[in-house]
Amino acid sequence: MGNEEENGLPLYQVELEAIEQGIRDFEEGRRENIALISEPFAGRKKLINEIRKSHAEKITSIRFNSTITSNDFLSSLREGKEVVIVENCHFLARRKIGGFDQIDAFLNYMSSSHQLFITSWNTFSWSYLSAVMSVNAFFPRVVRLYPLGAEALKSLILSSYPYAIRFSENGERAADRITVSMACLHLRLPFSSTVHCIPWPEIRLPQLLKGRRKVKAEDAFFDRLASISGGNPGVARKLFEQALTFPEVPLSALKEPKYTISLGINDRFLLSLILTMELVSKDDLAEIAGPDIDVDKSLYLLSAAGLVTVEEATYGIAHEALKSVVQYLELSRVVW
Amino acid sequence: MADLLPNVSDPLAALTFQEIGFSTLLHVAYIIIVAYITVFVSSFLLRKLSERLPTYRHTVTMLIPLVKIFVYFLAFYYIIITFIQPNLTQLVAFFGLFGAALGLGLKDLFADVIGGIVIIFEKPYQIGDKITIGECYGEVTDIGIRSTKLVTPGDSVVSVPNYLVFSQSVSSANAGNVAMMVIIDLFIDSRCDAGLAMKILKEAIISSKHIIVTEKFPYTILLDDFPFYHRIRAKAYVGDLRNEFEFKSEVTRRAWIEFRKHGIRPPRMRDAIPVKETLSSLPP
Repeated sequence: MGNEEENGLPLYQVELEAIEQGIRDFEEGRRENIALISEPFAGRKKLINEIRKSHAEKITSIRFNSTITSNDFLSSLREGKEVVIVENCHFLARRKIGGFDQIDAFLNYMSSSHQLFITSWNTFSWSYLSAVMSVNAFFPRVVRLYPLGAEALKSLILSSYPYAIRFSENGERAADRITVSMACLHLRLPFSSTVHCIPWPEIRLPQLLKGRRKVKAEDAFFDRLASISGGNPGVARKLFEQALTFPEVPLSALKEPKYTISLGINDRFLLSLILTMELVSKDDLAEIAGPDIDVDKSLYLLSAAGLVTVEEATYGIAHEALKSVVQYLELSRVVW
Repeated sequence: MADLLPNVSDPLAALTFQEIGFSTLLHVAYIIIVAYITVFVSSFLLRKLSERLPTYRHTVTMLIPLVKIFVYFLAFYYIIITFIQPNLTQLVAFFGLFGAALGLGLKDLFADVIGGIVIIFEKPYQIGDKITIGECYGEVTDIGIRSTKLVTPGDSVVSVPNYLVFSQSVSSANAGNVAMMVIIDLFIDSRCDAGLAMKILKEAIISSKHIIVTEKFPYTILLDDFPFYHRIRAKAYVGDLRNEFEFKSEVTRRAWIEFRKHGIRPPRMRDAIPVKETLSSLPP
């Protein structure tokens, strides 16, 4: 995710505070390594940048941008300060024989180190690695970036525009729709360092049911945006930009992307690799997939279906397709 | 008993049979065709729906035999009342005698039908399960009124009479779940590094495109030592039981490629033959 995309992503206050608390506990002698977990495009990087800025003097930072094939990174960790941020740890594992050596080495180093590790992971990669090699056991403090509700998305997106944006119904009456989007109630259970999200629905009833109070076009727009984007701020922002016709956003311009996904096992597997690694080069994909899978053909199919985007031979999930891809792969039991 | 008989026979004696003409036969044919089409269409739709809901595939497909039994019984009822127009007492008496006739003359068929009903409600297996019944192993593709159809790994379709559920033990490898445990055994020379072989097999398993690993579906790698070889056994769940053999084959092939790279060999046959036998079998 580039810096341009990072602008306007939310600063999750509850999650930020959970990480800050972890650092304070470490300073008081309680070391609990932290895992920051989220879907692609959810804004992990911004949160990490905020931590890095506020504790610059005691933090060493490493960021992985592609798959790691040697243990050279360990020397940077050894020479690091007392708090080490390791971003995109999912790049430490490649789903192939011999592809888990780096993550093994990292976990071994981490277990014997006295440093505090703040790590960030793709949520699907985290689930996979937790299932197959119990990565979660090494991180007592798990901070998840949960989907945002309509209100949060509205304040987030509108705050990033310096000018007023007009929302028009444009033939579509906002008041006629019942909209439901999921919001998050943060809860920390006793004796647990992890902040949990209790999902609860934000329901907006049509004008008829609500009496005289009129549902604003703006609210209707963000309700629908939250529902279509699955509460993912990066996806929501992308969809908003697509709907924006400066300085107006017509309600009808927000369309739910429809994908009919029907893939063979090899294409499905490749799609899951792209989802779990977020940005991955064709060479890395070919190496992981092995000779069984015709990577060129599969990538062509995935690109043609609009599920993945390619930039300089690096593949990522298309923002608009994220929700559909996740639903499809979860139903197919390829991601858990 | 003597008092009861006239009560049963009287209503039957009072049954009024319809005249069987061309229109009656046409009506019966119409009922059969409608029943057949209903079963065919609903089975087709339910199968399509089950493919769209992989997690609930078996639950949806188990509705197919239920629909079949319901529709065919309904059709049977309508055919009966086409020929005779009984009141409730007559109907009960008719079905009593009809059941007795079935029991005596067509007892195997009747046992199959009852077996089918038991299979639907007790669920010793479901459509989509991989089962072993008698000497047959395969995927259940259909549970009919009379028999259950299995497709064997060799792609042969086997019809197993439903009454076998009463007399034979049935083993279901997945018991209604889409995931299924697969056991993969690899045998290596006892002088090779078994620890390394276990690590390779573990990574071959967890990196497979077919696997599912959750708390409910864990995986295990086991080592067993035999006099002339080690057995490395992997137990893991394939996400979709239809990929059982692909999963086995993929993991075995990838593991052996990696074994060879690290000098891990299969056991040699001559090690397994006692020295005396080897010597005596040699030509003079």
